Amino acid sequence: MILRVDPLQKIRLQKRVEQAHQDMVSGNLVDAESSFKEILLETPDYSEAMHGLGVLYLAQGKYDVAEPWLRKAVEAEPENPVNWNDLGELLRSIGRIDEAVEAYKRAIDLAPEMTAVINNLAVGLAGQGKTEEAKAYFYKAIDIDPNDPHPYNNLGVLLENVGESDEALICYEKAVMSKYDFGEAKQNYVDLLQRHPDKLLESMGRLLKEAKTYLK
Amino acid sequence: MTPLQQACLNRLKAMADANAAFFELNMPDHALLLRSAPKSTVDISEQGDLIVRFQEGGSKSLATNIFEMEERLKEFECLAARPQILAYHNLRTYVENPTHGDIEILHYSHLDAEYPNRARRHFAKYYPDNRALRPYPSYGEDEIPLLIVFGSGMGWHIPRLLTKYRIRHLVVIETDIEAFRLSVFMQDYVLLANLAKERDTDLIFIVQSEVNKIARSLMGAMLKSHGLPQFFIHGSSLFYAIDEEEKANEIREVIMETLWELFFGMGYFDDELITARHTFENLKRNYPILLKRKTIPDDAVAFVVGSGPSLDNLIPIIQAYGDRAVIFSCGTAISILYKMGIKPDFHVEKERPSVIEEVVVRSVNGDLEFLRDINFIGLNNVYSGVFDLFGWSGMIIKAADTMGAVLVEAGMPGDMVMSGQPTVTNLAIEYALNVGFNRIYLFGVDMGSKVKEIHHSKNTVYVDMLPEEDELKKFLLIQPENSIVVPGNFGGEAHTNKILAFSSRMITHHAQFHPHAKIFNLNDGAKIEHAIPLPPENFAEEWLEGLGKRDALNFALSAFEEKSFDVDEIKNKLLENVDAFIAKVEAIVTREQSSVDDILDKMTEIHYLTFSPAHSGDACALLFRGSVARLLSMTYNACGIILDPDESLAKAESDFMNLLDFLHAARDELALNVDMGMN
Repeated sequence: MILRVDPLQKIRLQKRVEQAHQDMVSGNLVDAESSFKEILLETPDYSEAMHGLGVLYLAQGKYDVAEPWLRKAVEAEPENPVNWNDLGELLRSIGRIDEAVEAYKRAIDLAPEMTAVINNLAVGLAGQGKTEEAKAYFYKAIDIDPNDPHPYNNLGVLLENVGESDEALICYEKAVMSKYDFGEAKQNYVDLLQRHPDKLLESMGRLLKEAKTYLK
Repeated sequence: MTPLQQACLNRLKAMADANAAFFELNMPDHALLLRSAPKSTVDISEQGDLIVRFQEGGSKSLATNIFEMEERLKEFECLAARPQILAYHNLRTYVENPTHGDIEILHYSHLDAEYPNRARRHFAKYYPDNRALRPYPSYGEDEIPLLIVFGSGMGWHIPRLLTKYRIRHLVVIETDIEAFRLSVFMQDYVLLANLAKERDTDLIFIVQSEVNKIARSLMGAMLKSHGLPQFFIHGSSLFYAIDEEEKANEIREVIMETLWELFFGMGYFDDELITARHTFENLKRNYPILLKRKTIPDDAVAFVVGSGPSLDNLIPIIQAYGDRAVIFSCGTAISILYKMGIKPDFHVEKERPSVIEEVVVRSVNGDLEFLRDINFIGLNNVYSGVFDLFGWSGMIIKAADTMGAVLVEAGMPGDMVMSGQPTVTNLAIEYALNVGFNRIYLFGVDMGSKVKEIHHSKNTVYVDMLPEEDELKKFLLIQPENSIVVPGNFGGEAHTNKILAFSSRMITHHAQFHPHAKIFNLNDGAKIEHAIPLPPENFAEEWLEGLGKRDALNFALSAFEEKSFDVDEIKNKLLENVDAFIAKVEAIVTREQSSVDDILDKMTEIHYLTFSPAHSGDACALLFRGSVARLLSMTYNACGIILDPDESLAKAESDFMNLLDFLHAARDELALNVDMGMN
């Protein structure tokens, strides 16, 4: 039997969850928490509220409280890739990399084109020491969305770690060019050039060429 | 006049000529009106201003008109101040156990009570008060599903409105023919038509000086249009380009009444279900079906007897001349005829409920022998128990009816189905005219009464003797109020109601198709156009001997013949059609929707499936159109007042699910009841 959700109920719940997420982003954590809890009191099986509560605790570093909520969310709505991805994020945060990778893979099964999840999986795989596999996923993420700076930045870190600093530098450049205010990528770029000042001119040349193309 | 003034004037006159040619080609009726309109014209005044010069003298500056119209357009921009027609459903009045109330007992299903109730319950659950609702309906900024413009004025306002607003249906009503004629100097109607086409606006232009005829013009235009759902009347915006407030209000009332009449006149699934079951029962019994016209030589006489108040005084005439005319007893008239010792040759029934069997039996005090000597004519929807009461029974297939459409598809000649609406006397008269009676006398067919409160002959006493709680009594006492005043048959005025007024129009309509037949109205009720008023005291001198009663009766009966239908095949075909219909509706409602505009599109498409000329003969259109329109109407009401656009979409989605649930439940009921009819 297909369970039918009343669209009006769904839209009202969604709006409340959205508001709670906004509260979370603007730092009103108490409001966000009580909103999610209220929704769950009224609709105990509403996975988006379970997920919201899990993410809220994850953001606060309350991993032990976050994990049950994120697990409940994937149980309640196993077809939602975001639930699996965020469970993966939690597990990776507490160092349970193997479980995190499994969670990311479940998410990718559900949403094969979701670059954020592919990127996270690649990070997880890198954490497991599976460098080639990780690289392959980063490249896949870049293929799907060449404007997403995160896979470039993470790939850069991976390449730097395995000694491929020229390629790493190019990755950082691309990350920064995609998102000029991407602080982490900028820092990685600067750090690498400090370690390898000889690459500065070459890098500047590339950036200048890119800038000219852009200006044209 | 300067050369420039002359050139301007020439340009306006050229515009009028071009418009005249346009109307000639596209709207010949309007062209005719233009030709007959007063010859007012545009001119240049001595001061050099452009003016309207009226035929009867006097003039008016055109510049004033432009400024006035600009002011009105500005006022119209404010939604809160914009005049609208409000025709709310009460969306919160749900009940715990929905039924058809007093007439529940007459139905085989109660889906028409159940599903609207579900929609209301749903609305009340989410909107227990008005906090999340608008005070007036809105379907988006600048989105007007139905705009009614009163007056063509000088024409400027119409293209302005068309370009500023997204108008789905634009109805322009002009009651002043002179104003319409003047507008052709100013308004480029070719451009206007093209603009409407480009904006995807269904433009209905009604020029009608008689307010009471606007309703029919509008109805005719709607039936030709591309799907103007009647329920769009709710929240329709009004633009006044005329100053006569009283007239505008009168027109407004007429429009509202027309659209709601159309809306409520579309029938209910629960009624059509009775028709389906009874028709299958009757087909299994193989009653002869009316298959021939004009079977009677030209001089036969029919007495059509209804139970109107005049019947009491006319009984002596029937008693005196009844042996020389074929007597048709219509509905409850049989009780009076029985009481007076008159045995009719035909008894006629058209109503669906099975309780009619009990009504007929009680009408003759259970004297079944009396009935055995009478011939019976019933529509296909009449309960088979009624057919079985009589010695001989024949069936007439009903037009504009689900089963009528199904049977035509299965081989029933389309020209032999009959409207027989709205009252049983209409059916008797239509039948009598069609088989060739050319002198038809109406007894107790009052179509109204001199005294407002009186509907029936006082001899229909058995109803009064029933206890108040008697379901039969409740059914028989359902009578609309006599709130309409019309000319009396013998002068003066008579009081009538909508049904009887419609009935009278239908008699006129059918009489027009039989110009050789004479219909004599002996009743002191409402005048019937095309019927000859005949005071009872003049009856004898007007009387002409016709064909002998026995021969006339036999000729009349010979119009009926046996015709066998493959009922299994008909059943399968009907259910296949229903499945296909549901699939079409499902395809429409499950389509992605992201705006109220999408919802309106869906509603219009579904309405088109059930009501457009292209589908007027579809069994499913007839089966579902009333019930579907009612459910959609509630959705339309709700979506217009819900403040949050996302919630508006979600409410529509819920309601569309409810609609689909209704259709599936209806399909199940139909299959069940058809099987019951067949076994």
